[in-house]
Amino acid sequence: MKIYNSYILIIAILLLLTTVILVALGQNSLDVYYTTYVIEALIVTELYIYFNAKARRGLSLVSAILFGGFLVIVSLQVIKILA
Amino acid sequence: MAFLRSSRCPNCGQKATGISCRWCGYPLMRGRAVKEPREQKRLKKPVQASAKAEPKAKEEAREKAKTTKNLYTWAGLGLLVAGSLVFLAAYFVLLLTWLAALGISMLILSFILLALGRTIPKLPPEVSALFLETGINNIAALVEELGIKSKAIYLPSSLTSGGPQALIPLHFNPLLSPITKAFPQRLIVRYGASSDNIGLLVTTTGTTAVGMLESIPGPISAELESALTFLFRGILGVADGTRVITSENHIEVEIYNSHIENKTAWFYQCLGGPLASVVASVAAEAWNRPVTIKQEEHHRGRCSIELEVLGEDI
Repeated sequence: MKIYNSYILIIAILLLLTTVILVALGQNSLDVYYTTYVIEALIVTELYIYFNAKARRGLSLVSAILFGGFLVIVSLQVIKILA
Repeated sequence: MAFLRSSRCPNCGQKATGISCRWCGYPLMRGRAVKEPREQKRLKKPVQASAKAEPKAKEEAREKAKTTKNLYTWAGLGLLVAGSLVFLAAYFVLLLTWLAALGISMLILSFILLALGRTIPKLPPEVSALFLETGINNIAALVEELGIKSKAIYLPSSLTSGGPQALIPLHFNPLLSPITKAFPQRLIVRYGASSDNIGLLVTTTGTTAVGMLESIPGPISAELESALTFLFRGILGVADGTRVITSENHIEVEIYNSHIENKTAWFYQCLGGPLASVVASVAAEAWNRPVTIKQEEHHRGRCSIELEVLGEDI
């Protein structure tokens, strides 16, 4: 389970650091926060290629859910621009 | 108090006690109830005791598995609830974007934890260690009792009847003999025409480990390295990584940060340590040729293994 722990730890540290940096930069849009989180999570998941097949399936589902959220944000932005 | 029925068998007419006739095996369910013989009752006691102990052990193992699994699941559920509360409070009440973002990050982490919590093996590591120790101790006793000093030869699955196995020649420094056909699924096998060419065909940790691979790697060092890292880091969690260098008939494998202790028992001199056994089995399968462990060294978590790929002659 060592690989699980290192994966979770890296994701948690990255998300926390991102929050701190974006707050320091004065970012006030929740969409930017979410998009950055999703991109980071997807990159780290792709880098961990040595997960077993079952874990990869589970994480693919999570990635799909997160990507779905990202698409919703993009769609809302597009609607906002068109309106 | 336990009672058994009938003193005479209705089928053969012989005098009989117990639950069935000892002459013809006919069940003695009808007739007068007779007291169970004291000896039979005494013999039953240990069986009953072990039968009671077995579900208890199973229950304990199940509880242990539940706790291990719940470490991730419970953490995921905790973060899910906390993240939802933080997000809702920050977004709708406090109107703090950064706090709402923190809530979202907690929710993302909770999804990941819940997904990983479902993939943890049901058997706790202690139970697996129990099975492994039992199997290894039996083979070790066999090898030590026979006084075998020769090194094991790891065979690919094409030369055995099942998965990759290890052949331990009974005689030290055996004569070279070609393997003409796959060995049968037996413990004692003959691998040559000479009367000395007899060995033990045993299943090792490598045999099971090869079955965990998604696909059999090729003989290229990069493929072998990838397969070994996948096994040691991703599946077994016993090391951080591997490096493989191949040159002609020699394979050098470095395993980084291995957590398995090195033992110097006779058995390990013959078959190699658990890591070396896995490496040799995977290499034998990758090259589709017999492999032997030439050298194995452990130094501060780094394990160096040198393998020799044998020809069709062993």
